[in-house]
Amino acid sequence: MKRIGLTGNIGTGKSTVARIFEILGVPVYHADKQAREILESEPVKIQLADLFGKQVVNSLNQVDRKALAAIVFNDKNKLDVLNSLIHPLVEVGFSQWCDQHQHTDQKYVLHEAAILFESGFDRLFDANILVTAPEALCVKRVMARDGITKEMVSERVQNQWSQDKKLAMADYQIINDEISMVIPQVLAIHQVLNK
Amino acid sequence: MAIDSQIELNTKPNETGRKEHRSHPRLIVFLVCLVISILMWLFIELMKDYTDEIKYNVSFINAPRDLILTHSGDSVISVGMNAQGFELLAAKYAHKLRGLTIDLSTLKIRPTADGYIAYLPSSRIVDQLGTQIRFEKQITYIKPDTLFFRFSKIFVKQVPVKLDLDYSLNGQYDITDSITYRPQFVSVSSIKSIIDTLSFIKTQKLQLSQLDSSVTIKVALKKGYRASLLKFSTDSVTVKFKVEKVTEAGYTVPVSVSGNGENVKIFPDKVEIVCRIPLSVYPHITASDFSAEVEFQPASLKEKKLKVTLIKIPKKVRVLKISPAEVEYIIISK
Repeated sequence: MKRIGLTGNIGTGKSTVARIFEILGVPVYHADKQAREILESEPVKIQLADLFGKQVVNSLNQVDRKALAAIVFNDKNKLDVLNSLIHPLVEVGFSQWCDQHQHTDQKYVLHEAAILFESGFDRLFDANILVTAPEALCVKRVMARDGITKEMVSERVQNQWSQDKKLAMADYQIINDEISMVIPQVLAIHQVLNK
Repeated sequence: MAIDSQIELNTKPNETGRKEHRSHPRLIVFLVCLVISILMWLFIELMKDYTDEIKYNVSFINAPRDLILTHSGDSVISVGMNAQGFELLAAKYAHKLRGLTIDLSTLKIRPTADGYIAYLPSSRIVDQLGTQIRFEKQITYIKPDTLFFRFSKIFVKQVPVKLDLDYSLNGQYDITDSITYRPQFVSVSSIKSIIDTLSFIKTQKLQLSQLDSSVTIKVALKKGYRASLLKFSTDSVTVKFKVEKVTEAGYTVPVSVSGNGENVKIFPDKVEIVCRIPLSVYPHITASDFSAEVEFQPASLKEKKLKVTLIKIPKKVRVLKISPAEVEYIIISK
């Protein structure tokens, strides 16, 4: 069974694309959701407190994501430390998930993640799909979706690679610019991957 | 030296002033005499008898209730008078300004094949004018000597009123309820040929600019060139504009599929809407107050996308944009 990566910058609509694949019966592993669950697991919380201080776990024994983000996004070394803790766990989790979905009638499974090329995860997959959209449209979508300012969206975008850089590394591209039809693009890739 | 020159300065204007005073009384006396003589002459002249023809605009009142005056021949009557100058002057200017009215209540109206006709002979015109002109004894003739009238039966019809509006709003303000007006229908009485062609009545053009508060205003109904043949149950309508300060807001609204859409999945299944909301209701509005859907029918297969329609919009909210306005769809075979 092929393992396919699905990624795209913030606001490109990769979740929507992932849902279309799901409708077509393709199992989709939502890496960001899994990472959040891993972050809240008891052994990880203990390690987080050891690595970044007790302030990253609040009085309700929940990870204070804002406090953690403030620490790691201002210090690249600390961000690498966090990634080195979480990424292997996500990778293990994905392998286990793939095992569970071995008997699906599809010839491939999808791994959806916001940062795929940046984390080096793309090397684990047989092919990678990149969802793209004009940057202005991405910003507009995120502002509407999360109710945040343009400046806040820009801050989030800073941690991502440019779409052009990712495009050079991707095997397939899905354009979600509200002009091109998305479903025909998904169906075309689906047909190729299911051969 | 200084005192001498002052005396000299004071005396010079006095000398010239004395000369002017001497000539003024003579001129005034002359002018007064002239005016008195003109007035005397005028008085003597106006005491004499004159013959003159005076034209009066006439209007007609008290037409029978079930009939409408369609033709009255003349709207100007010439009255020949032989009277003193004073009387002629009064008749010519005082009455002419007001115009004269002719009461139609005593007319003997006869039905004919073409409608209803009646006439008023000069003797009766003089009677009627006599109450309005004080000098009826001096009337020597009236032209035309007989007034002919043609009446038609009145037909009544209820017609809708159409507003003729031209308004602009101050940038931060919007009309938060539909523009209402009362009455929305009027009863129109007229002859059959007009009633048959009448489908609505327009108001006079109402122009309002830079509105920034609610307004209630009366606007007259437009009768146009057939005004004399039209009678309305009311002459005006009351228009209400509810204007409020508004703000722009955006919401994410889920889209459902109606019609034969059990196996239809849409992408995206949520739309962003941008609306203008009055500040008074803004805190109470949430995304759940809106409802959006696409309709899928077998005929929709011809379309690549389905149009999103908002089926529930809170009162007073104006939707400016739905994004995307159309969504893609896929049919899942089961």
